[in-house]
Amino acid sequence: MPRKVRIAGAKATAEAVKAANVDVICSYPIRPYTGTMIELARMVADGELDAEFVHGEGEHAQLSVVLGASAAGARVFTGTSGVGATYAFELYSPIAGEFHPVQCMIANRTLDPPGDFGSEHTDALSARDQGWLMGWAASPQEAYDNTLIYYRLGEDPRVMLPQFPCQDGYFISHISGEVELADSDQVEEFLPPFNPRNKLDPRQPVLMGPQCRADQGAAIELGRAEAMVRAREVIPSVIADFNRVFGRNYSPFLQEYMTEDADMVFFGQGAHTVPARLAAERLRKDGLKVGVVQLRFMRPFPTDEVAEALSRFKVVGVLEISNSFGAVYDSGPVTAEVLSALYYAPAQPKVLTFLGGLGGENIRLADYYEMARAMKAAADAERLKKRVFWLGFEPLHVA
Amino acid sequence: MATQANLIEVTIWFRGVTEARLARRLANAIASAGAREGKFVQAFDNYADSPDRIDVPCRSYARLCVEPIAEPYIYENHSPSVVIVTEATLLKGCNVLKGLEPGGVLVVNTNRGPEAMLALLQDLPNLHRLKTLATIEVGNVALPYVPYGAGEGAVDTATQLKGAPILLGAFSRASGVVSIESLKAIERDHHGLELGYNETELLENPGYIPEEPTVEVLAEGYRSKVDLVIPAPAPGGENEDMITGNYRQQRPVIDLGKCTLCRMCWISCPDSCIEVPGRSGERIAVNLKYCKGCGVCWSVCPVEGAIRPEPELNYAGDVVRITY
Repeated sequence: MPRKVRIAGAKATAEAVKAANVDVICSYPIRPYTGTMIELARMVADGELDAEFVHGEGEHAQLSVVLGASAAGARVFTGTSGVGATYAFELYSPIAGEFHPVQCMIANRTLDPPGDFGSEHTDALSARDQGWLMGWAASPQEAYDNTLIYYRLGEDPRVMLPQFPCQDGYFISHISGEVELADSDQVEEFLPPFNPRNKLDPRQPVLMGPQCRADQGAAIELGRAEAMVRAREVIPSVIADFNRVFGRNYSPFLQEYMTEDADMVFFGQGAHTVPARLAAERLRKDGLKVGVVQLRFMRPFPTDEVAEALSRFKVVGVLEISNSFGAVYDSGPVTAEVLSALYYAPAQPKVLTFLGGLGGENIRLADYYEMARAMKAAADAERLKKRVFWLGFEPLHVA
Repeated sequence: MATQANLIEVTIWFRGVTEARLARRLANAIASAGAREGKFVQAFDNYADSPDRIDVPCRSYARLCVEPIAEPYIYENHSPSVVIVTEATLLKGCNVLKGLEPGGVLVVNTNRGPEAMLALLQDLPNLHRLKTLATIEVGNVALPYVPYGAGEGAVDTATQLKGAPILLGAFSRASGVVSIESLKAIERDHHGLELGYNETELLENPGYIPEEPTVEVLAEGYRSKVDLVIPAPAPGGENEDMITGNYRQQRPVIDLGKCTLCRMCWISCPDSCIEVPGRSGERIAVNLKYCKGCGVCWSVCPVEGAIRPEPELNYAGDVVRITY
């Protein structure tokens, strides 16, 4: 029987990794993801999980170890946060390019400076273009579920791509919530054993990722691009399967909340969409019809779904928990994707960007109210004078 | 000042590493018991403390509310209604009443009784908000008392978890935030829960002054940019932002009549807290502002009794409170 426990996201991830019965784990400490590795180390030491637990001497080594183990046919797990994610960067492209379905959790942490522990999505989003599946959890339960979903997706023979399941540091990784731990029968039904077509084996030597000729580069990258396209096609059936086996109610790409009659929506990923829901509920009393759309996958980006969903509203307020200095309209990576998706949409809502939660700051309920009022003003305005705002640093005057 | 009316914040002060599991278990049990009573709950650790440093003062939190928690991601309990202290010396080293709500409750693990604890709090600005002080001795009541090297009320991880139900029973009795019946659904050790509930010593603070609780109003105005270049302590100076004397549960006491000035302690102290002031008339002294009470000095001292450990709570003075 599945059982319910009260645990934080970091521990929930470890429980899911155990449920997925991984073969090789490689660790290196960095807050806030460390909690996951502490728990996995304990599970291995206590004999609850039969896995090789390797201590890397840094994140570059971590990703190197799991690359090799995955090539040998092992289901692997590693993880990191913040500057750890950027230190490992060199390995991201080879792992994806050679089709090793490595799972590397990222519990988000702000890059330096200022060297704080708080969640900002820039660490993971800096690696969004390497061919890894990527998306955010909005609760410890979703962190648990995503771990299993990503293994299934990544190891699908049509996909074979590595995965970054992300969770906001502290907000998700360190605050306990109720988590339903799966039954082994459920996991067995949902997640088949990892069985790659090629394995490193001294009895049948092969080279994986050898130095290739210059004219082979584009051809190899086309393969990676097509795998990502196929991942987008596979996701709905995998999510449907997950919902069936585990009794959940996830939408494949966009989790909508109070959107049926909404004029405007908050659009974002991860933890900050949770207080946005409470704000949306309370704003109805002020006559503001606000909904929330939570993006579940950043890679592959659900272009058609975003275009279709967001064109129903008058105003979209993007919660931009990440930086992309000098990006289009000086906004951020999520806004850039949203604007691009909306270019061919049936209708174009007004899009505002709220750069907030940076450096791991909390977005207060009052901030959501203020953003909603700015979205209302934008809905009523004929022309917008300003569309991108640093939350807390300037008045949200759109017209 | 709570961020929300009806929000009950519970803060647990504990010693890093050695009591981390105990604190988390307390926070999770309180939250789970509250959930059973139909409340919206959260449990989490303080994110800015350094819980991987042995004996560093740390905090775990629980939040309970009859309506959805409006601000779930505020990093700290800024206005606790109840404070649990798992190791009594923390009262000397930390402002455990910071932000306390009017009518607040303090639960301390100690064998020294509530009057002795109240005496330690006299300089704290929020003392008039403290209504009830409860003490219970988790180390002695039901358990073999196993010190992990230093300290009162602090025991090793194998036995400390057995103290959780006793502290939870005392918490329920003193605060009434969750009922003992709800806790019994979470904690299997019903004997421990009842022991804590029945045997906790309660003291009403004579200096308590009732006042109305207030709800926080967000400050208006916008922020500006900051400069990353800031002043730093000069070489040889002291870092006021990293005072570590509040780690200390046992204090090194030097018998200057026995000390031979061999300087073994001076060379061995990992925090450079042993001072040898001058060339003539030299005396060894300890910088109690930073001494963590780690015990290296009294372990390496070659003269029997020249440095001996004494419980920090035997000394009323040298209170160095951290500011956070």
